[in-house]
Amino acid sequence: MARISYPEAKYMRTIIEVLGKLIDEVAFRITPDGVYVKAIDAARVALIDIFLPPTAFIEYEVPEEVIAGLSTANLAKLLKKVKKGDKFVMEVDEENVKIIIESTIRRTYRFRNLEVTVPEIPEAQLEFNVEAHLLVDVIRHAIKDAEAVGDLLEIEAPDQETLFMRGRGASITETKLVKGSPALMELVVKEPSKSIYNLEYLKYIVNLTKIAELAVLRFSSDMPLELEFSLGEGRVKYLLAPAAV
Amino acid sequence: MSTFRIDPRLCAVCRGRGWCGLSYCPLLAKRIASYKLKRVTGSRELFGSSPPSVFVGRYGYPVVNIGPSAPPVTGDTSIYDLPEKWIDLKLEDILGYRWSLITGSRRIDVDAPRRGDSFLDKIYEVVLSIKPVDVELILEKPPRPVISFSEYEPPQGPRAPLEKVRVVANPRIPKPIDRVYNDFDLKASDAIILLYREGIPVSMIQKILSIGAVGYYRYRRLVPTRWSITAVDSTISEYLIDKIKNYQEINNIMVFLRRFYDNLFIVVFYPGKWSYEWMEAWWPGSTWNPSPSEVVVEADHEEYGGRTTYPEIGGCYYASRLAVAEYLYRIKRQATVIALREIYPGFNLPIGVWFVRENLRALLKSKPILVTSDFREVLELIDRETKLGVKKWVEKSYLLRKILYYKSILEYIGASEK
Repeated sequence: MARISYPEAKYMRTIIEVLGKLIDEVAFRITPDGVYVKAIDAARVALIDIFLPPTAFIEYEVPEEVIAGLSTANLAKLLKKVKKGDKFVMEVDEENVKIIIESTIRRTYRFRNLEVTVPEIPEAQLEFNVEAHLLVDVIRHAIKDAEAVGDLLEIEAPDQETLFMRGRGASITETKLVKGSPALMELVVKEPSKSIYNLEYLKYIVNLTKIAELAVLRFSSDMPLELEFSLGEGRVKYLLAPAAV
Repeated sequence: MSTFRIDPRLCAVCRGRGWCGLSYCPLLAKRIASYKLKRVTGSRELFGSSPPSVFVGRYGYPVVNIGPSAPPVTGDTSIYDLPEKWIDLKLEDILGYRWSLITGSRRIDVDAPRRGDSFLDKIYEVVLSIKPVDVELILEKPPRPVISFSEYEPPQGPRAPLEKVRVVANPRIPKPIDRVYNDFDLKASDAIILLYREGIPVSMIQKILSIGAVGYYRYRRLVPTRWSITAVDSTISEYLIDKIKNYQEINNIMVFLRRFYDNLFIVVFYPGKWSYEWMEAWWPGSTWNPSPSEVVVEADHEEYGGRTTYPEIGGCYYASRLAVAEYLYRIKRQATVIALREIYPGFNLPIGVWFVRENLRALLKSKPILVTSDFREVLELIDRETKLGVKKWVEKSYLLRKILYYKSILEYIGASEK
């Protein structure tokens, strides 16, 4: 049996909400080195990869690897009511998954441990030509702006200094970022690149910007986009296939 | 019916052969109806067999018009209000049937099913029956021969305020209907599914829902016909889709095609998880396109997770989704489905969403005209068969674009899914 306890249930809620948009059932792989979640959405366009190290938890008793299989819809339902400062505890054995929300009162939920097939995904060895360190707010705004005009987001790094994010549709919106500005802390461009991504899938993860502050954006021309959000301790990686328009 | 702008000289030589370009002959349809109505116009009394049929209006909600309908004939009149059977009929006949249905209506509160109402009890007697029921309608004034059309409901015949209704024959209420009517702890959505699984026709379930004969007792209420049609289509298809999601994906691309009265339907099944798109292209001069030159194309879709908002395109989205879900449920497979419809100028009467549902059901009973693994063949077929052309359809379609343009992330990371 494993018992882990996360200090901020609200963070967990955001993560589950994002997962819920992509998949119906989620498998938490809880190992002595940390908690891993990997999932591909139904249309196989996006891949999400979450890692939370033991240090992110206030309690971490995991003698051996276990898998907790849960329905994201059920989980999202019970996490809907959590408040800031609530603690999220998960106890897992072969049969059951117990979730305890500790606040002024203690709520316990017990679920059957579902058998969720964990997709075998090798560590993606992708080479990216552009890497940018950004404030998450910038990404959120760029996605929201682009939504207003169409269903595509174009990202372009024409030189070492600038990064564009454009919403493409009937009209065009453009967010221009210049290296060194507070929004764009770092930009490495090995090769000028430009690529287009489906906004529908970027919308799904917009909520992650609520719990992260910094994000690393990596991409190449007509290659997947990788967004890495750091959550204090732990990270969420989101890999999205390009839209070839 | 003053909107027809046909040269009368043309009618004189054509005599119902469709030279005006419409998909039905307005003169013939009107003729058939007025022949049947002759017996009742001018009279305040009507004796006939209700198919059974009921209409619940939506104007003035929560105080709405409700009343039974009956044609001035007795015997087996079930065909007068059974869209499931209409698909094999000529449009003139359908219009003839519908227009000769006379509705006697009365305004009552939608909460009436909960409070009990003697007028409503009589409607229950009529509508819950599987067989036509003889009724006597005493109207406050002779029915005006007004004929109505709507995008949602089947065409309506003349109406008049109702003074009194008498149920003359014994209704025959099938067991499942009796059961859900008397079960006050059964949710309306569960009742709909129970009736559907018992083989009660969808149009019948819609009537039962609209008179408030199902659901938790304290939530029972009248549901305007137009709303109940979409509610039933949506509830049943959602139930089926839930089941479909557990099935394997289809192996090959399948394409179905059907032409029917100036309408073209194409349904593409593409291997993948469940998702659905419904598109319509209205030509100038067809029902919902008053523009003189521009073809209007509308589309709405849902991904695997379903929709949270009402599709802009309207109730036909759910009607078509029901037909498609029924098919996938029958073959025990899931797929990404793109269904499209072209409506040409001759088809200028709004006839109700049943037209979409029944046409797609008929289409999916036929054999696919193309089974392939090459998506290009599908695009060629769409280009060949549609008047709009594949380029415009792809521009409008979210799912077609997705299939064409969005690559799988697996291609890039070289993974295989178990």
